[in-house]
Amino acid sequence: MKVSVPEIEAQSRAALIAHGAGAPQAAAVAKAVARAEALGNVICGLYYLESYCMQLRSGRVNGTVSPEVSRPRPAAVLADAKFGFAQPAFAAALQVAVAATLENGVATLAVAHAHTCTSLGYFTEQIAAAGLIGIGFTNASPVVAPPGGNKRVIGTNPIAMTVPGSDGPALHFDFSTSAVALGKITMAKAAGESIPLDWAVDENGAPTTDPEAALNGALVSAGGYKGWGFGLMAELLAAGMTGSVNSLDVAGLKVAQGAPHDLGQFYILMDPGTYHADFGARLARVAEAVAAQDGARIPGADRQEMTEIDVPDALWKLVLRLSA
Amino acid sequence: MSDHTLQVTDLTKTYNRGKPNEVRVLQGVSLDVKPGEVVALVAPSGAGKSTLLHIAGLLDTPDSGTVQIEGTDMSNLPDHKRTAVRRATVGFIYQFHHLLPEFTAMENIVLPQLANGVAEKAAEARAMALLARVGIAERAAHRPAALSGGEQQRVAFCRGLANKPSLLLADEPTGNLDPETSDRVFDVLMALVRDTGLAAVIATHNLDLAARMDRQVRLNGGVLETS
Repeated sequence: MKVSVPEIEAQSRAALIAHGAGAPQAAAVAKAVARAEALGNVICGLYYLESYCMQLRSGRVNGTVSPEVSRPRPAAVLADAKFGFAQPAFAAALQVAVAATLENGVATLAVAHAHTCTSLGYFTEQIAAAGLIGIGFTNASPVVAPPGGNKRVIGTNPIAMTVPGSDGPALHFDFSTSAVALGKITMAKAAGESIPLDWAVDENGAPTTDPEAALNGALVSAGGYKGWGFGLMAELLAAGMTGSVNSLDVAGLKVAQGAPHDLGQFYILMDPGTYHADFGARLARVAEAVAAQDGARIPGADRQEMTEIDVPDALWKLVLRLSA
Repeated sequence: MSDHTLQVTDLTKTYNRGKPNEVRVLQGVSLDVKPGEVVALVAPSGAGKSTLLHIAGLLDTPDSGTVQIEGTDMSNLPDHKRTAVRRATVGFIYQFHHLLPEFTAMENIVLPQLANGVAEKAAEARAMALLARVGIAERAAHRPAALSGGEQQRVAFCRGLANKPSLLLADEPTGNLDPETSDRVFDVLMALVRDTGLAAVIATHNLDLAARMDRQVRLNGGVLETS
């Protein structure tokens, strides 16, 4: 079913309101859903809508709470989402965080006690739209075991970075620090396929190609110890700096019932002109060297935004049912 | 009941107290602003004007001293009440527009009203009236990236005034624009402020703009001097 992006936004908003979200909260979340779909990021788009709605009903996310923004230090901004959605909390804090960055050169924004933010890059892109470099970190429910171990300790814990360019982002990446998303294992299992040996371990901590054994075990970090280090960095910034909970203490993100996610997102905002005026030249030097190689690219540069999305029929029917 | 919209008294704020990098930003700052009065806050960079504006706007708390808004002492209010007062009473405008990039000009002005409990239709009507007042009604459906710098800042003015605040706090509101655009957009802001009769504190480096306000105060070495 071909659906326009504004229609996706309107139906998502209606669905959220129908399940108890307030108008500004629903508007902020629906915008993020539509943006994910427009960029082809299906995992962070409509795929999450049903769980949002069920969690609004159960109270796992508070759809009407107002975030509280404060600036505990000149370069430190805090948005307490108060167990509500991440998007309205970020929106409420963004202008304060940008002002703090322009004043200090560098600032941080801690979004605390929030529902999953789904696409972390959605937020770093907004930082870059203000002309600043944005780096973001968040944590999630535990699915990744430490190298050498067999028990899940941290989430897929993504890191995102967006660098502003003259016409949209000059660089943008947003990826989990785990080898793959959990969904890839469940899809392999459904298709009866085996998985590469470096994606997951079984319950004894041994690398496995069996998706069933992987689901009973844990994912591993991307690049072994290196990805594990980055995953821990995201964990400590997202949970430690914001005062939100550890991945260890979060139940499955899409489960309808249960305690609020209470996740943190931590952002570093930097004015590229803080120390000198040559940031753009250094970026261009790398970009030109990459562009000179056929098939190579800077991540996120020249991304195409779609205006009409091919949404699976069953998913769109579900959306319409949720918004009715 | 005070007849001042904003009354800050003996504010002090020190960062890194007792450490080698201690910075005493505010050292006993008092400032009263009446309804309809526009005060220019002139200060060099790093003098603490943002700290003062953030404390006055209830985003930050002083080490000592009080902030009264419309006669009510905000010092001992719990965070959620400070947030509610800030949303309903205080409008902020920053140097850079900081509009939400995914939202249209109209939506950027509607959202804070929805967050303040205004019904959607009424919020849209007010947003459109404000956009018309600053001369860019026909740009309502555009996202910030499709607007010029001056247009973006006009939208930011509308957003700052969306919830009919009684106090406007602006930090270099035209500082990001070229001199000619800055001058023109500043006129728009002043007309908007005069229309609404609210109390305003507008920080600026620009002495010509400062001279167009009702009075000037200078923040220097952590204290306010009246010029």
